[in-house]
Amino acid sequence: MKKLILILGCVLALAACDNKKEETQEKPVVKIGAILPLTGGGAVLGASLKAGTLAAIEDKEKKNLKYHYEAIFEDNQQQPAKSATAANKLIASDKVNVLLTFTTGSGRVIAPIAQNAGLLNLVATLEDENAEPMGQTTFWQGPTLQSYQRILINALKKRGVKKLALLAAHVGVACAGTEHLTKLLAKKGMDVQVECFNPSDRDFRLPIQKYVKEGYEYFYLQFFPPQTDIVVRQLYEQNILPQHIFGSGIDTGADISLFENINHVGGNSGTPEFIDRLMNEYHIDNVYMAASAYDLVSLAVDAFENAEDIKNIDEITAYIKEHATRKCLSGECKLFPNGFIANEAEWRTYINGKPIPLKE
Amino acid sequence: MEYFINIGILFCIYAMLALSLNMVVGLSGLVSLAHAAFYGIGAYAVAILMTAQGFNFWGAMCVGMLLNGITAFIVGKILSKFKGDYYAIVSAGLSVIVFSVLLNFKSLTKGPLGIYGIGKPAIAGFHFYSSASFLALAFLFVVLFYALFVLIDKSSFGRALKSLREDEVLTVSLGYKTTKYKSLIFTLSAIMAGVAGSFFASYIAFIDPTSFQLAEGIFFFTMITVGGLSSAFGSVVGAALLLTLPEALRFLGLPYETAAQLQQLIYGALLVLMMAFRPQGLFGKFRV
Repeated sequence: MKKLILILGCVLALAACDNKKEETQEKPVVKIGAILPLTGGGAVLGASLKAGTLAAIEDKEKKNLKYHYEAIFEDNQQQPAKSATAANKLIASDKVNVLLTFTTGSGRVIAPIAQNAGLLNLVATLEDENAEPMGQTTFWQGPTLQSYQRILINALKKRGVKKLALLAAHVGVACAGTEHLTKLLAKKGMDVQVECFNPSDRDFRLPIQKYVKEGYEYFYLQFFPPQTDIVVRQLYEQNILPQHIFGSGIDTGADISLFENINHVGGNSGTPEFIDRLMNEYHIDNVYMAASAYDLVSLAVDAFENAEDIKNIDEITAYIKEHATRKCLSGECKLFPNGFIANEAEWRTYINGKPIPLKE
Repeated sequence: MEYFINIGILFCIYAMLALSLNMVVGLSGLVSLAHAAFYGIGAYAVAILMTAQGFNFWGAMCVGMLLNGITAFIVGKILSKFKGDYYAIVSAGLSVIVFSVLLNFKSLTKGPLGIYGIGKPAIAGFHFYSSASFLALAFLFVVLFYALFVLIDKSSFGRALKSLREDEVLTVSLGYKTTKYKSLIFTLSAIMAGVAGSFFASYIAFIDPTSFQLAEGIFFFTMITVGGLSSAFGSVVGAALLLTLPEALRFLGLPYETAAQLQQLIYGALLVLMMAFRPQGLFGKFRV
């Protein structure tokens, strides 16, 4: 018992030590608290968003700014509920000036916390453009569900797809969005079969075989890791060609080499130079939503640089409202009245491990 | 200060869960992994009724408790026919079923999109909007649950439960209807878990099924095993420890490239050490 108390005591004592680095910067510091999935299945996405955040800060810091910008990262294990404690820690202990997170769920948990603390809350996510606002200090950026669907329908129509098996995960909008999409595809004369899977499912071979037997040559996938990689591998096992696989969220997979020549709709990944930079400098294979994180952080930095008082959240949000509709790294960005900054979705494929936009 | 208040609120929610689960596992020796299911039912009852039906917190919480009571009574009847590992497996099954319902019954639960905008409790016009007032209210329920645990522990009902925990055959031979006792304590524990779920939904204001998976049930089980089975104080200490330990690790100043991964490694290693040095838990009176 004594040994145990000693061990626990050591951990708590270490934690209590002041770990904060001495401020060597002359400029005042603006801290960006990023709450991302850094462990578990979503870690590949967290790494991408982290790289986008750091790249934005690096680029902004090259200019002569009023403030020094610093990112502090906390893990939420892709669980919205865990985001609340991380946000409270960042606010109380690290005294962050901005919060950044990923997914609508986490954004909605953090929104009231940020609003109460008078802080800006930025969320990278795919959303319905008519979704309810998250709060007065929250702005969310990503492609709209509507733009995803529009691009997808056009691309499938051009390829003459008649029968489509739509496989999706019960995560976020992946499965929830299939109902509307199916109706739209049916209107275009397509025979669509939908099957949603629980996030813990790992074996998709039987449903794949069933659809192949029923004459469904084309598969459309909406999954998150690790399911994305697994389902694609199992489609290949059944001799389905990459040209017969489509998807959204394909770019969330961990092993990008699997997705060569698979056509998919995704959030705009930014310029080829930006993609190269993330892959070479930040050593990530997947650039999912990194451009959205880059845009959000860049916008926040601009807002702080232009504010007379960085503690005045009204001034910060007013700047964002005024400047969010702009030319972004991830395409044309447009602010909706609900606080959603929509960027462009694109139809693309992977060639030699890099996302390449396709002209349709 | 706000951070510590928020940790305090989460502690209260976990303490309620630990106290209620320890009644089943510690006092009765029934290894239940169904707690996440009852926690989820309580949370979703409050979320759905408050956002879609205009209920106030207390009304919604009572409906959640009732729903949990009915579910647990029926499931408890089935579970009371099982013992040991089989009891654990069947109770885990309930957790899986409830999680699947929360995930797939989209018209009611909104599935993986979750429910947001869940309100706070109010009493006689006073709204518990501030974190401090919410903490005070949640703490009051922890005290009530603690008192109930101690009361049951010292009552003839509690003695009968402990007797069936030690030797069910002997307890039956003494004339006790053990299935009735098992079912009763399971139902009471589920109702209490529902209260914790209600507080969680109201506090976090957004819920989705990921908070009510079987893994959460195992986490609650770990809390009482670390704190000590059959001990009210152990339950509270276990909840506090498992909540504060990962939070404390956030302050270790680890390099940010690997901080999240290292935190989980250290957390896991500490749990292993804890169980190696103190398998009965910190204040345990019984080992499964």
